[in-house]
Amino acid sequence: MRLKSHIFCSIAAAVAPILAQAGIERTDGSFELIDSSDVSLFQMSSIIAAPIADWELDVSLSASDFTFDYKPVDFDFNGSDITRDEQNYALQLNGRKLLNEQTTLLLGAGTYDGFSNYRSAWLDEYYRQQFNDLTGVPGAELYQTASPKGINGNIGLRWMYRPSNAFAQLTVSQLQDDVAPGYEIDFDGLQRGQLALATTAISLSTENILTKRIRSLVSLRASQTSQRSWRYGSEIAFNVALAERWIARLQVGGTTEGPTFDAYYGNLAVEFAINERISMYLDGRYYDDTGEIENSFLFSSAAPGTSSRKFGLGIKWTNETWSGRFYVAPISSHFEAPGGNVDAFQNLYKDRDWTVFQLAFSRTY
Amino acid sequence: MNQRKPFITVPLRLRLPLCLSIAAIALSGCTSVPVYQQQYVSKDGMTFSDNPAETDRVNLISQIEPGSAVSGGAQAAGCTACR
Repeated sequence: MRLKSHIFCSIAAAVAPILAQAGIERTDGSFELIDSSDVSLFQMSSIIAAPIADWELDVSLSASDFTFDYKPVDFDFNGSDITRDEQNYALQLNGRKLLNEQTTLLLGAGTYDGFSNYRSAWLDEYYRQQFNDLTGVPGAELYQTASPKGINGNIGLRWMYRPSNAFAQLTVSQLQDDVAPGYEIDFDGLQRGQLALATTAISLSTENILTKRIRSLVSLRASQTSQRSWRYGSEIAFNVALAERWIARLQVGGTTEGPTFDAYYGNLAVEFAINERISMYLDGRYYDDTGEIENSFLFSSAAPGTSSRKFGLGIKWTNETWSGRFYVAPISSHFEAPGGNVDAFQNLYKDRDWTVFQLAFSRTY
Repeated sequence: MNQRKPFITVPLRLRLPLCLSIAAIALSGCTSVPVYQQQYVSKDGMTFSDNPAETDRVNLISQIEPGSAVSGGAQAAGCTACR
């Protein structure tokens, strides 16, 4: 793990002087923590924006830490309690080049190393405890220590079809992920799931100034991952200047993936400007999905239906060169009764009360 | 008696955001706001920004809400029988 962090820090150290010579326009930093009684998720990230030749370049670095208290179910006689700590490091480069007054070319590439979420790591721990040592069992050699990582590339165009009022953006992305595979055992021995997943994603968005007080953003997404159905998503957001000091932000979205996964969510924030430099906002969010389980006959590690609620309070401040935000919110997540086919993961898919803390800042030069 | 299936079957939970999306796209063609009248839509809190100090977005929320993830890509550990 230290070698990986050193590699990413070395990349950052190599890139920083190049950006410094080019003239940094803006630097952003953020710290985010979502914490519950047995799972703790932390992420810190930084973004440096600088022009290089004809390009506007953004370099983004992030480091995440997922810690959870793995607990096997009561009937898992091979399982044992363990506290697991996983790190994830990611580097993303995004560039924009103005082709003409109305059209901008977008290019991006990135890479990451480590588990991208705690659920993957939890499932990996289960498989490790169950199948790590199957001496004499056919297929035992298939088990290997997981080392998730991935790369991505994207290309797109932004078209300002109505100058200063509206633009449309189309982006195509390709992702390649080495995943922690799933395992199952039957009379033929140990069997292993896919080691790598390829994803193609297409995103179309349009931002519009609808009236003097309303701005909208509409996004449509489609993605397809190896041996899975297409996943479609849509989201619409309205920012409304209610009065001189009041702003409302509404966001509604949904996702569907065959044959049975449907999700929808809604978010409403109301912000009040205390003075020219400080504002406060309250927000609430609701999320609900149908879960990923298709049938009740096979052993499954997929999540049952889940819903969550969030209510938060944030404070923003700004001056000529600095801006910042602090946010805190409790989140309550609930899983539907999973049924017998996911009994082995009751302690993963259980109701949790979380608290999210965010601190972010930005400086312009 | 044969029943004709609709050409496109949109899940109920996707219909509201899709309808709002279509409405917003349609409304975008109705008017153009001059730059000198954009003081309200240009102030802090009214723009859609990736700046973490300005956005309301919680990056890690996708770990609690798998359906709100921005793009596809590898989700949980590949599971041999997760369907």
